[in-house]
Amino acid sequence: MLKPGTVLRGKWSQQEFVVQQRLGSGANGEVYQATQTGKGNALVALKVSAVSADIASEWRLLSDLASASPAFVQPVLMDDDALGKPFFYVMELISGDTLPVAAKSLGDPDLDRLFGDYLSALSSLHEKGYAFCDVKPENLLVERKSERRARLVDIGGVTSFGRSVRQYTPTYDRGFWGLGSRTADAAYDLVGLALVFLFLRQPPPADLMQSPLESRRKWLYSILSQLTPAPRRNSVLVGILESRIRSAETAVQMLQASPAVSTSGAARVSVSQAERMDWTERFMWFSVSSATAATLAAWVVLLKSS
Amino acid sequence: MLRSEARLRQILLITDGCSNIGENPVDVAVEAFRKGISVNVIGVVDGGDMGRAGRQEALSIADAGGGMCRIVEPHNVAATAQMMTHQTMQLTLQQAVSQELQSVLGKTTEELPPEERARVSQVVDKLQEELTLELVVLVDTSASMKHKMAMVREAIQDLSLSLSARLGDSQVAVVCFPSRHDGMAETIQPFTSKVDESALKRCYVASGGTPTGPALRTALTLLQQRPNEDDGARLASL
Repeated sequence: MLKPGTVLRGKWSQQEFVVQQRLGSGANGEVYQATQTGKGNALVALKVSAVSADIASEWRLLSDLASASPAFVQPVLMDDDALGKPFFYVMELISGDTLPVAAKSLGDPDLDRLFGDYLSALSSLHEKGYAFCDVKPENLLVERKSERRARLVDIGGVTSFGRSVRQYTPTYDRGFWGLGSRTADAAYDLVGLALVFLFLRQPPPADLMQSPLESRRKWLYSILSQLTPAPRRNSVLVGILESRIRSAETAVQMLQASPAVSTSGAARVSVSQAERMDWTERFMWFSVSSATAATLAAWVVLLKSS
Repeated sequence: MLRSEARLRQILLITDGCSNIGENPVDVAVEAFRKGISVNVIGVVDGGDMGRAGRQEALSIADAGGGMCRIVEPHNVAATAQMMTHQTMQLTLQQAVSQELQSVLGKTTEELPPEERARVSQVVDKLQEELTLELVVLVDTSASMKHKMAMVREAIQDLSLSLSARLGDSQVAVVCFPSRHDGMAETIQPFTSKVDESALKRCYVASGGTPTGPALRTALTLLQQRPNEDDGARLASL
């Protein structure tokens, strides 16, 4: 644990970082907010660990993922403190809220868009043959900037397709709900994401987590059966949790294809549009038939006179 | 050095209290670690705390056994067991690779520049997936574990399933203590690549003491009795 004010001097980069506060800690290290002295005190995030190989391994993955999608954290540099330990890498500091916090001030259209954005990010990760695995609210950030972009953090769980998932959170784990195996594949991430969005509105009761698999499944299905077609993401959530949607790309397409029926106002608009269409159609047939009649009459007059 | 590490060997102890019968579990953990076997400990608590003595002992065993220690609620046992097993495999390999580099280059991994280090880590990740893993799960079945056993059984089943997705062979054995027969430790599942659900049902909760030390000894013996298959050839190509 580093105290605020601790200075880390990079042995290789010669850059200096001043620790401000701890942002979180995980299975292999801690993340701090820090300033980069040489770069006009720019704010950055530091991942710090006493194990050099953990840092090296994550750095390699982070660089790979950043090229897949801008939704993943962008890496800056990897280095060691000149005094030996700790080892660290530097990444961009994301100023954002976790999805559940952000959701309090966001409407359904925004949440639908974010759902799609997370799906797209996962889709580009899947193209590289990796699953994110540890999809949970803490790892899904929404930027505070006006665009409120979707970002994914903590790549500690990222696993190649086909391997066993090594880092997960039971609440958002496919296996825990009896919805499939704990092998890393595209659908594993989709189920995690669907559960996060489902539980935003309907968190599972605390005692349910201790109860046997059958009652967990029963509760989940009862929640699913109560979902309405609006907002748009709901039909995709159900599709994922019923294993009908197994790839992120399909999920994105389904989300875009599902009709916007979020308010009754929208429904009224489409009805009145239909009425107007009906009237123009009648007008068209009237014009066509009267034109035909006029032409016929003209021919009759012409033939009679000749 | 790597030759003797060709198999990864671990003990996972799942308990909720302090030992009170037989030799000191910390001593057995020290011995295990000296033989290249890591010992991880999961303390299972239900709402409350483990008690200071239990928590202290759990930490000391993991510390002496070169492993990790986590105190968790029953429904988190499965996730924790998997995280620990993978983390410990990685740590063991990192140490082995670092020692190997030391003897070849006269440098530890930590002295390599960042970019080269990332390449070494790639080798470690690959080995971690491919090497044979032998794991003994030690389950405390003393009376206080009674209402936590369903979750623990599920966790072991889960762990075995998850390990079977590795590329390398994973062998898991399960030992319960205290045994219903002699109050010490009982192997209810010998080494297997897939833990049998019905075998786990034999993990009865029994009254009696908590012989954590003797149970660790049983696990140690089980691991040492394994025939020494020669994985060395594959590793030599490193």
